[in-house]
Formats: sequence, structure tokens, C-alpha cells
Amino acid sequence: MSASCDEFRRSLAEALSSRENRRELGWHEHLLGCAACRDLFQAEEVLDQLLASLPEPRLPRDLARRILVLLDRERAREALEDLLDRDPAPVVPPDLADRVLGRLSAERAAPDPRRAIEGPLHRLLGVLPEPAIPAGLVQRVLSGLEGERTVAQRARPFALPRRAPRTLVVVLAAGLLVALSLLFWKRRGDDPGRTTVGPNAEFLEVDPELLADLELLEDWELLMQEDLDLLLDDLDPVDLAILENRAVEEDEG
Amino acid sequence: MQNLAKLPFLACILLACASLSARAAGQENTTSEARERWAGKSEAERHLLRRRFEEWKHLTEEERQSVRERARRLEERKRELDETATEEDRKALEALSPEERDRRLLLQALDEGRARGRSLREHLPPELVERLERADPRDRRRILDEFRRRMREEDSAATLRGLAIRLNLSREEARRLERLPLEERLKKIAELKRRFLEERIRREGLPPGMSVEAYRRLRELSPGEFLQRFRPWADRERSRRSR
Repeated sequence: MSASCDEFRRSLAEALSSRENRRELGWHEHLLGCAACRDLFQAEEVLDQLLASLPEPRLPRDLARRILVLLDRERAREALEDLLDRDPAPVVPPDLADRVLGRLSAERAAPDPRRAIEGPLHRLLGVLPEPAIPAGLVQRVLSGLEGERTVAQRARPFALPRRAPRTLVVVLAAGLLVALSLLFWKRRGDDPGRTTVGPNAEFLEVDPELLADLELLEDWELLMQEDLDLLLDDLDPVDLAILENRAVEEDEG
Repeated sequence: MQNLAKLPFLACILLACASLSARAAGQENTTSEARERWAGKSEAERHLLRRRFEEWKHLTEEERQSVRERARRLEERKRELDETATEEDRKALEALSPEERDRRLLLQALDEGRARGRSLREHLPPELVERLERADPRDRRRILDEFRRRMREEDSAATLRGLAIRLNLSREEARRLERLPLEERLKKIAELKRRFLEERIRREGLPPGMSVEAYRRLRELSPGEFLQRFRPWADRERSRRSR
């Protein structure tokens, strides 16, 4: 390796670090006479092209959020520690226990105002005689309740229990509606070309086209008469005018 | 302003919707009436109607159309007979049930039709009448239709010429009418025949039995319908003259 090789490779290193003047460097006169430096330069160019073809490196999408979260936690911990550092250690007064116990004893010793009222009331109730329960009262009450229940049942034979949940009522109503709808659509879907009328469906099934021409069919025997005179009566007024004109011409002619 | 401009458009849509609803309701009414009648029939009657319906389905479309046309004309005539019934006839009709009344009017309309047909025989070529009488009843309509087609082609121009003379149209106008295509000639025959009848009524007055109101209603119809509805009066007039 000659001095000129050293000089070229220094220039190449500078060019690679700054990524400038690469093309100009390619024309360095040293490359014309030095195969080793030419190979090196070409290898560097190939590497450079390879790097350029690689995708640009990208940071993960949520990296910024993760960093911010970590920073927040760090700050919070520092703040708490800072706060705890500032709080002085608690000091317990030496006579605290004696003072609490003394207060409790005083509370227990004081008279209760409710007891002052209840005492005479109890004494008064003790003076009253025991109430006597009339004979047969239980049976009378039970039979009366039974009668009430029967009347209510007659008035609302299908009533739901009073405490029936509202959802149950809604579900029952929805079920009934769905069942009726299914029944309706099934009857329609069974035979769309047929119409069912009235309660006696088996005998009343009828083709809609028959219904449309029912009047004609009712008068069938009268309309379908093959009487020649009736057939002639079907002639159009224009045909009649032509026939009349023929008759006139024959009369005149 | 834009909203105001939309109003006629909205009104048209509403009218169209209302018209469609009314039409649907009308059809539904007709069907429900038929359903009610069907429900009121005995099983034997239903069986008979079903059998007739099978026969009806086997008719050609042309045959069905002709039966419908006959039914339509009879229905119109029934209404006219009902409207123009004498006091005595009205009392007799009112004593009947709706079904019996309907049948009585239908039979009367059919009798009239038969009488008209009988009177037409004398205007038809005798050989055609003889052929029709001898033919199988199912072939009669086809034979008559053939005759009508040939007659229209051969005699419609002469009929126009005859009407033009009676209406005092110019010779040029008569020639122009004679040269029209067949369908146009047939339309013109109906128009000129109506004009001829209207002019005669203007000169001689209404035919016996026709009220001013009935004539006013007739004049609102198309020429073809006018002539069809005028037939009973024309027949009476013809029979009166022949007497």
C-alpha cells in the first residue's frame, strides 16, 4: 500500500462519515492505477446501495406513551417519598391511655334519660289485667278470610298473582304475539294461491281467479247459451251499420 | 321559495298514492263481496261453480273476451231496464229479493237481445243464416267472425260513402274517407253514424222513451259506446217503422 493509497483511503473515510462528495471521489486519479483501492471503493459503494435499499428504521408506535407512563410513575414515587420525608415522626403523649380510660369510666357512671321514662311505664303495665281472647275468634277470622278470598277469585278468575313480576307479564304477552304471528303466516304460507274464508275453511277454500269471475260463473247458463239469435246480437254497432247500408243499397239498387 | 316550488310535486305524489289506495280498496271490496257470496253458497252450489270454472279455464282467450263483453252489455242493459222501468214493473221488481230481481232483469235483457238477433237475420245473407243454423253451436262464432271480417274489408268503404251522402259531405271528403286504412275506416263509420243519429234527433226530437238526461249521458260516450247504448231505441224505431 503506497502513500497515495493512504491518502485515498483517508479521503474515502471522510467522505463516508460525511456522506458527501462520494461521486467526485470515484473519479480520484489514484483509482485509475490502484486495483486494490478500486475494489475497496466498489465494495463500499455496494454496501452503501445495500443500506440505502433497507427500510428506514422506525420507533415502535407506542414507545412515546410507554416512556411517558414510566416517567409519570417515577415522578409520583418521588413525590410520595418527598412528602413522607417532610412529615415529622408522631409523638405519643405519655398520659394518653390514662385520659381515655378515665373518660370511659365517667360515661358509664352517668344516668340514662330513657331508663327514667321506661321504669314507671313498666310498673303501670304490670298493674293492668291480662287481656282475655274470646272463644272461637281464630275460627271466625279464618272463615272470614276464606270468604273474602273466594269473592276475589270469582271477580278475577284469570288474574295473575299480585306479586307476579312485570317481566313475566311482558314475556307472556310477547310469547302470545309471536305464536299468533306464526299461526297467521303459516296459514298464509301453506297455499298462497288459495283464499280461506270464514270458520269452515275446509269447504270455503277458493281460487282467487274463480272469485274474480264469480259473477260470470253464477250467470253461466244464461251467458253461455248457444242460441243463434243471441250470437247475432253480439255483432258490433259498426257491423250493424255496414249491414244496414248493404240493405239500403239493395233496396235502392 | 324552493319549498313552495316542491308543493305541486308533493301534491302529485299524494294524489297518486291516494288514487292507488282507492283502487286497491275498490278491488279489495269487489273481492270481499265475492267472498261473502261464496261463503253464503251451499256445498252443491260451490261444486257446480267449480265445475263451471274448469270449463271457463278451457275456453280460448278470445272466447272468454266475448263472454265478458256479452256480460258487460247485459249488465248495462239491466241497469237501463231498472232505471227506466214503468211504475208497475218497479213495484213488481221491488217485491223481489235482490238475487231474484237481478235474475229477472237479466232474463229480460236476454229476451231483448234474442229479439234483436232475430230481427238481424233479415239483414244477413240467407246462405249465411242457413249455414249458421246447420252448424255445430261451437263453430257458429268462428263462422260469424269470418263473415264479419270479409264484410268489413269489402263493404266498409261503401258504408262510408253512403253515410257521407246522407250527411251531405263533399265528394272529396267522401273519397278521402274511402281511402283510409281499414281500422281508420271502421272508426269513421262509428263517428259518422253517431253524427247521423244526432242530426236526426236534432231535427225530429228524442226517440220515444228516451229522457233528456239519458240523451245527455249518451252524448258523453265514445262513438262506439254511443251506438251500442242507442241500440234499444234504434230497434224500437226499426220495429215501429216495419209495422
